[in-house]
Amino acid sequence: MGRSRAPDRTCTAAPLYSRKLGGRHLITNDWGHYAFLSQEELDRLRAGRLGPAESRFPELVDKGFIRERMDFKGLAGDFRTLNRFLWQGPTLHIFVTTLRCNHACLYCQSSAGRVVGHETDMSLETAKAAVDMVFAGPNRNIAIEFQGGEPLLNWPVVRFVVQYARKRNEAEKRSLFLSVVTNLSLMDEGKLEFLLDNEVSICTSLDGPAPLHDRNRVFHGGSSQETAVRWIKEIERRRLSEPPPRRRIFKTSALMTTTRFSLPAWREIVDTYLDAGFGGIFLRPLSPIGYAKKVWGTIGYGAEEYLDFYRRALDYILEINLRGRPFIERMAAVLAWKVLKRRDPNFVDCRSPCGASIGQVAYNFDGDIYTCDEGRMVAQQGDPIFRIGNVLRDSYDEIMASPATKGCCMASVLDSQPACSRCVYKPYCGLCPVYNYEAQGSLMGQLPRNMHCRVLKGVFDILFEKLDDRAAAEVIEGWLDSSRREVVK
Amino acid sequence: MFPNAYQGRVGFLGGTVAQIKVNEAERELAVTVASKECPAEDVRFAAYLYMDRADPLIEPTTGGLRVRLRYRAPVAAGRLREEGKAFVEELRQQRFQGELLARNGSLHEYVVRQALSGAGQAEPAEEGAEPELSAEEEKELDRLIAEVEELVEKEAKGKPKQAEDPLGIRATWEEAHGEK
Repeated sequence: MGRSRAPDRTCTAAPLYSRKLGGRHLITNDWGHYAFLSQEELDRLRAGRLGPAESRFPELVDKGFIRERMDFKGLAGDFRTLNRFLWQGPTLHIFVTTLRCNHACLYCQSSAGRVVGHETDMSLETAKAAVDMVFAGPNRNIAIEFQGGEPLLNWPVVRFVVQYARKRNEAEKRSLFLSVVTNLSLMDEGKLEFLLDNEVSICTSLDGPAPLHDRNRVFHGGSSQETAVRWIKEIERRRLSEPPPRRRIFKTSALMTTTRFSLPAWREIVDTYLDAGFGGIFLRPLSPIGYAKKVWGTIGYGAEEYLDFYRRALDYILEINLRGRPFIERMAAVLAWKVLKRRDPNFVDCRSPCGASIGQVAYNFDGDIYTCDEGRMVAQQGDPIFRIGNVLRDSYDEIMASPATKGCCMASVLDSQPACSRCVYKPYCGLCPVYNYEAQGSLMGQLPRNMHCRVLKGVFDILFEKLDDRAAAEVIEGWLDSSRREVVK
Repeated sequence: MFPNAYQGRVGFLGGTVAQIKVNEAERELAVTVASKECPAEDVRFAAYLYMDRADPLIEPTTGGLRVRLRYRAPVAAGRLREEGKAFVEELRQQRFQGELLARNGSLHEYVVRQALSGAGQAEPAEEGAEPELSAEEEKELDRLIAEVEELVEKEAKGKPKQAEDPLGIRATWEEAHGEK
């Protein structure tokens, strides 16, 4: 379509969602489009009095907001693009190679501090079966991520999985991405060379400046933060000095976890990432899942406290960008990717239905498979509700048809949630049944009282405010010029 | 029910009003609205959203519904009146959403179904301004929309009828329990 009707035609609103934001009205639709309208424009759209002669009309037509001018085929294509993960199967495969860890982080579930004993190490037989399960899925893009505990404590299995997966992929010819999430304290020259030679991306934890990081991430072998930063800089040195084609070294990435102690340190946290040479930061809120639930009173906070932290940090990051240094806030970038590109950035935590089983799968050391790593954490506290099978006993079809997979899918389809089905952010948002279960006692949860929902709604409010500001919007749009993986990781 | 309470009326839709009653001592707010102006489903949506701050109770009244919101935390003096007005605004919003869904449900479902069945592949956007539609094209467009709506309706009719509901499971709380 794309052609206008006669000016006297009555044009009414197509399916849309709306929310008052900063004196204007944000409208969105399930095809991924958005627009800001004045009160008067919204009133006239609602009353069917916004006509083709008006300046906003062509834009609203193009975006599918005018019922009489809906381009069915084009809008169906938009919906399909935005939700393409529905056809793909799991991408992210998390291997918990051991529960042992040499850190005792405040928020971690891994009964940390224990490095002796091997009863929670993944065996080679289990690891092989897990890799076979990965390749049993249909997705042409596969990411295997080693987690723990501290995965380097079970180095033989990490090494085996890397080699076996690469070998299998010679025949499969899929896009295979390998990464290890490590605190770097056990890194050495031999391990690093193996990881770099095999193009394994390295991701570490960096919670901020040393006093904060070391308070969150208790380590008895010195400063955890200084150790991590030393290795980050060493890997970066090699990346810059050994460009392809010799080998492709990925830029190290880092995960930051926000505890109560992080909230006043937003500026220092961002500065730490800048000083370490990172191109961005993911201001990740903490969730009361698994072990963190037990200590929530000490390290947790409310949605409003987090949003205040997030807004201050984001404003500072935008200021840094406006001064000429590109630096991404990844949560804003991921959501902006959906809003501005209307494409799925493959971010399994924020989609409908959520990524549980159908976007990501977690393989525990004993071969048990979970909907996600958060589901595995719940099991570690004694409740295996999110277990979907075992690599040694079940097939791919069986884990996809398990009650936990179905339950998570059903609970996380936003159309089935009363608070979400009419929400303006529904086209871009997602919920977490594991969070709901841990915080509110059911997979469905009760969204109006749900911190996960309030945080996401608040972050979307902030993001759309920024997108309505020309200077900030240009910075955020610039972030999307990076590759998807660069934005998401 | 509301001794020494504020009572007010706020214009709602089509010239009718929503009644607001406030009892600050009990931290309770009640908003009454006629069903013809705001269907029960939209009232439920609005009340549900207020669960972040209050415990809602929906009661039938003559020709309408009353939503009682008992706030869990203390509310500043005079604040409940503003909350009442905000709740009426939420009812308006939900009414609008409800109307949109009712009017566009079949079209929405059709597009989603096209996408899920793989029929709708993204196409590059057309460039430049387009001329107005001719009278024939206008008719054709109306015919297409009507065709889609008819198709969806026909399919819905073809579906097996829902089973009887001897236990009244599908009845709403208000239908099942009436006045408290």
